[in-house]
Amino acid sequence: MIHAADLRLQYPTRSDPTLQGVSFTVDDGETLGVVGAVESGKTSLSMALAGFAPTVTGGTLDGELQVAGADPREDDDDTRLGMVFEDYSSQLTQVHVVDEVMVPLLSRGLGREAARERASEVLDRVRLSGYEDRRTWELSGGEQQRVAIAAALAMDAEALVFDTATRALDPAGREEVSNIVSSLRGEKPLVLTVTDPAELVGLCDRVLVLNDGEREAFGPAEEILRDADLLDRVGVRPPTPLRAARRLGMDASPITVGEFSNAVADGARMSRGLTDTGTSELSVEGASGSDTDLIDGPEANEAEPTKPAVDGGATADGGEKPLLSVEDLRFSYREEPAIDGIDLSVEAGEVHALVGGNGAGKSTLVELIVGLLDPDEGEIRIDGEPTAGRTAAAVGETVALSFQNPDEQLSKRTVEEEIRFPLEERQYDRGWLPFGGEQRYDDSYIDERVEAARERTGLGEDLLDEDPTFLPQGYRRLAAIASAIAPDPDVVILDEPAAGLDAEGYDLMEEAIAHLADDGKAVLVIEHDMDFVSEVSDRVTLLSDGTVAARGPPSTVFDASRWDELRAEHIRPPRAAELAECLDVRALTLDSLVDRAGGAMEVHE
Amino acid sequence: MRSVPVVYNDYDTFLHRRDPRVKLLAFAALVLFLYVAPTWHWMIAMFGIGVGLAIVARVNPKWLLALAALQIPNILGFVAFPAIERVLAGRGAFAGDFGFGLKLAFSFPAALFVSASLFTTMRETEITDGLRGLGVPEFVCFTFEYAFLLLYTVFADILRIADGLKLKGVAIETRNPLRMARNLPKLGVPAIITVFRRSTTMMAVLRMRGYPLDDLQESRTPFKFDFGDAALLAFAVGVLAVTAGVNFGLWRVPVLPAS
Repeated sequence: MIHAADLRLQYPTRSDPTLQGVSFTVDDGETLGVVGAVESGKTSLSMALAGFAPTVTGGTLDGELQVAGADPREDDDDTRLGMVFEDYSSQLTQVHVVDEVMVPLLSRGLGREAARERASEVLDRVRLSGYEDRRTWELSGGEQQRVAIAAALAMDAEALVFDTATRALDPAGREEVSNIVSSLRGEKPLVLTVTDPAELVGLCDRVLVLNDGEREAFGPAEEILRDADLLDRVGVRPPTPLRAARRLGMDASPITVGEFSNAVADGARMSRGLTDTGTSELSVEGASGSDTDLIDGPEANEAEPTKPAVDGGATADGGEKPLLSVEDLRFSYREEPAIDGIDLSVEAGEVHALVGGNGAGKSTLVELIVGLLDPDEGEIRIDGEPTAGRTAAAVGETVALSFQNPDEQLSKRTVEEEIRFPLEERQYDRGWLPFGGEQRYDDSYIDERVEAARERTGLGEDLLDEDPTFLPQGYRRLAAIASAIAPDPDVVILDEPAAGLDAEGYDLMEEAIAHLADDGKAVLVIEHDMDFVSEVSDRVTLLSDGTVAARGPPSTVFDASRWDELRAEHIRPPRAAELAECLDVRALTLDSLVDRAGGAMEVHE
Repeated sequence: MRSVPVVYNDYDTFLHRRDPRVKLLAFAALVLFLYVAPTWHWMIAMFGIGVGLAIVARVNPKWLLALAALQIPNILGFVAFPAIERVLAGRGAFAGDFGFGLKLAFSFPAALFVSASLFTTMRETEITDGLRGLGVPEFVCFTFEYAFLLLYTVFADILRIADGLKLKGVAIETRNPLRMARNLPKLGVPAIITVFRRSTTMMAVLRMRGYPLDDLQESRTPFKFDFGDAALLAFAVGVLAVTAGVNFGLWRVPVLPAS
């Protein structure tokens, strides 16, 4: 059992307490979900339960706390509670996978042979059988996280905490971890902390909602997860079916697509959602683009207008040369083809999404475009100029790349220094010598560009003097993007910009992308979140095994006829599209679902 | 994903099959040899032994040559500095003894080839198990293995950070070594932050999993001391003994001078 009463955690470096008066109980065999916006105190709570706060973190922890019958602050036994951290690679403490799992077994007194045998059993449970002698750092993120879970299971701890354990993983990794967590339910108390409450559906018994370190709510999962107002209030996006039901005025509160479908079938009353004509219409979204790959299906009778580009009135249909052009690109890793004849073009003002499962070639394609890798064959052009023979530093002036993990790109003490950095590096045209050279632009130009980049990404002026490493995830990502676009590149590539963001971060990112497109940039977005892709992109390219499997507007690529194909790649179709199927309409976003759902259900004014 | 180069070379050779304790003792003998070798001729002889061991261990020749090429400035420097000193003193550049400089200069490639031959034939866990087998305190063994792990995991992060810096206009490409040398320190701060962030979590995780830092850990490597091990150990100790004997005037060896 886990019991906390009036828990208060104060870090030495912060003026306000990180946890304030948090109380909850988790009974044996129960699973507790903890949800809250970024920086709401979820990780701090996990660290307190595991005994790391304040022992490792510093500070003070007051209030009552019992984990499996002992107070972690006084308990000598650090193995009572097992924790799986968000940063999967930081949990690797051994060179080989089997040793990672054997350490807790050996510390419990098992002999080496018995420990090895037991470790193999545990690895089999997390579907890593055969990985025993692999080096831990060579595994994928999902695999590393499963090793961490295996090591936590091997501890045979009284309770387990999964601290946003799936946030940094791709969909396949998330699915694998979620399946393991699901299989552990009922065995021992589990605590799952998440930013997206949809991840808790069907997994937990009770939910604790945190808001700025305080307990906003605590109760049965069935009630909490259906309380859209509560979740909105704390800055967390309610599950999509619930948001859809609310906007449609349904008197049901579904949190899964299945519940939504049942609610529709049961004739749930709906008070909004009339189309302009007041009748039910089947419509296809965004049917535009010169290279559509339409599947047999209902004809479009209400298409969303194509976003106009800025320069010369060119549209995503073409008409001007693309800012980013990739022709017949091929690349192999150790003789294994990773990119096998890919063509891609992105116009000025276009937002183009690149999607695909693990190993599809997305990351490799991006590294080729920005010059970190050289292709074996094919050509890449930026605004008509080939990138062949240019260094990554040179290409980086015309192509901006924002990594999925912004911490890999932040290296300065303030946000302003971070944004100035790429401009200061290129201020002088140095030849072979690392000093001297002709000045390309003066400091006033740098100041202008810094201000432009700050505005475009929505970063407040008050953030310029802040240390980016201490900002919330969403702002760190925006700082990295601002730094990347400071040189005013033609092409902007964003790698999983929506990963791990809360509601505020999500909105900021959508706005930033819209601004970039409005400025005439060619924006390439790599994403696993198809809801986000549907919201922001004009066209989508689906990669599979290093080739283009489909391309076109989101309505084409995410057509229901492709869903089995997408799911095979661990790509979940947009949730709004799944909900729309229940209403027998076609839509990819919540807005279009609400617009088109009128007439599909009984309407009450 | 960038692959992280590791020290271990996965082959099955005479050296790969040797007991790690013996290879570590051979390395210790090498270190002592560097101190007792009488002249630079002995260093060249050890360099020759190193080349032979590298061939047996199937060390990648390109990798070795690249590392050896990095020693050229050392060698030139060790020879040039005494020459410059003599010129400044009004004597001829080559009017003097280069023995000490040459001995120092050739010690680098000798040590490089021998140690590469030994360490590339041991997995990371074998090295630390070998240390344990020789009675080295557990804290030292753990630190050694932890340093390897940190090095490899952080190296992957550093490659990524370097990519990020390149895209920001920092020239870290090898095609311009001068600019690369100037810019490499810019990796320093983010690398240190990464190491610090990672190591804090790693230590907390080790505590959580009950890793006993004080008790001697059981070896993961099955030790066996066979004829091949005895031969290698005898060779290493023999070379050291002969060299020391010549250095201290106990005996002489044909071909190689005593002073």
